[in-house]
Amino acid sequence: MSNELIAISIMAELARTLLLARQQNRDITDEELIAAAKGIDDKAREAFEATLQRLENNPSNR
Amino acid sequence: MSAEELKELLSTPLALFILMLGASFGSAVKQIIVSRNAGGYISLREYFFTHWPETVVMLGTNIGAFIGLIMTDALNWASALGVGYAANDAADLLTKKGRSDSITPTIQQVEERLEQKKEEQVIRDELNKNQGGFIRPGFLMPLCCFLVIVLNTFALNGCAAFDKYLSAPDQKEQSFAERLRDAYLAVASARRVGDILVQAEKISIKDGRNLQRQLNVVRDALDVADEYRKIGNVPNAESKLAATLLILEELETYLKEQQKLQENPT
Repeated sequence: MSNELIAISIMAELARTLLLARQQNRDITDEELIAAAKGIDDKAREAFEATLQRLENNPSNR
Repeated sequence: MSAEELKELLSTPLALFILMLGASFGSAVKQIIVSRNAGGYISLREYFFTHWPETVVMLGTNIGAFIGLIMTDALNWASALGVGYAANDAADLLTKKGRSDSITPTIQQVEERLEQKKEEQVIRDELNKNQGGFIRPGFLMPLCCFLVIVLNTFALNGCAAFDKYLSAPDQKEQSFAERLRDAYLAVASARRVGDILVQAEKISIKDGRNLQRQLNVVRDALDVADEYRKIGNVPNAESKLAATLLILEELETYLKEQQKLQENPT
């Protein structure tokens, strides 16, 4: 996956949060924006951590 | 001598005692100036030596207060300044016909001073007329305000105002929250790239683990910056964010290099 695709996938996740707020007919606050970004990073951390643990426990799976 | 060493030296009891005496001296100078402005006349020598009982009381009060402050662990810059200043003022209460009487101008001295002030005012008015009326208070005040605004805008902000007007109209400066959000997203991007690279065997598991650890540090720092933002401590929040961005840039450079290697293995 290229850098651009990763950036697009991440921005899409953020856009989803923004759209949800718009659907509720309100402006998104700074708090919500930052919380959404934190949530995206939490998910990326979990996924990376899972990959690392899987490979550390069984390097032959690479 | 470093700033810390100088600070330590100035916080010694001896330095603080000198500060107390300095504050008393400052109080004396203030009294003399006030007296002279009101028409009285008393010299520094007369103030301290002719009225020696007050001087002795002032010194005694300072010494006593100094010992008291040390014993109560209350000796610091603020207390030394305050007590020193008050010690000299309090000495005036000693005798009615003492120093306090000398620094109070007589009615005759006050009248002479008022007369002198009137003459000074006449001369000042004459000088203002001769100046041609170019700079009068009514003009000077807006002129000063204008200069302050111009200096502040162009000099202190590094001509940022020019950039603002010359740049594209839709170019909007990002708020701190937006920059913080982008930093969180950059961390998430770096994790995903790292995840892909480690699975593709372009970086070792150890490198992947190290990357994850460093990104965790960046994330923690961003959380701290966010906490500073929440309590309104903008300078600390900005400096924390700036520091994390530097680490992120280094990590991203590393990841890009690895990605290039993946795309062009030769």
